[in-house]
Amino acid sequence: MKILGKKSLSSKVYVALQILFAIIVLADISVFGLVVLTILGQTSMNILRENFTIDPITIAIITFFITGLIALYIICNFIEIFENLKESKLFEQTNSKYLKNISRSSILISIVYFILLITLEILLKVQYLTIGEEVLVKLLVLVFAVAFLIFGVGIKILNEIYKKAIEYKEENELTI
Amino acid sequence: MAIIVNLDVMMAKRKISSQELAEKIGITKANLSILKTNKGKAIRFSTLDKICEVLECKPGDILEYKNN
Repeated sequence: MKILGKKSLSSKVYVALQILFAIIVLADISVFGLVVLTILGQTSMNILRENFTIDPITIAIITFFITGLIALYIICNFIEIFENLKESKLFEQTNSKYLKNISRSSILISIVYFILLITLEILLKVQYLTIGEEVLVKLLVLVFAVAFLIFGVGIKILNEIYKKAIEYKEENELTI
Repeated sequence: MAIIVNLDVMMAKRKISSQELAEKIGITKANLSILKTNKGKAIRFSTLDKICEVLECKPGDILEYKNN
């Protein structure tokens, strides 16, 4: 099967990424609506109770919204890379730039999840979840944080290899 | 880079145009221009051999080392 160029695997991945982008946009809009509704609901209730406390679930939803936006940016960069691959533009400086953006964004998502983990650690102690549920939620957030961190660092290393490849290609092209 | 290509000097001495030299060496005019303007990263022995043959000179006449 053809991997690069038109009507190849990379062009199919390009289409799949565009679909994924649309799905995440829809999901993020829904989450945004949920955030607004939750905050509005809590604020009105807190005004009545005259003490402002924020639910850990609200924090988690806000985190998913923020990370969703960053994920959109990552997918945008992947779309650009696959567009270049579709047109057989392999070793381009722009691809390296997109990989750098992906790496930085993944590490940013990881940081956001680590912050969420710390926040949950503080807030969940006074909340209503059982110990089992609390451990499960924290474990899930930790898995997400570590996964994005590994992904970000991995892409960073791959980008360095890619940069070397571009350097060799340019050297080869300028050997007369 | 410390290696300077003095191809244009030799070309002027031999009164040969870029087009003619490129054709005789068997490279494109664009690649010859890269060589002349010191933008090249490396030169193949085969290319250097042809340049010396056409311009009737030695590699030292074309390549010069300048200490930075």
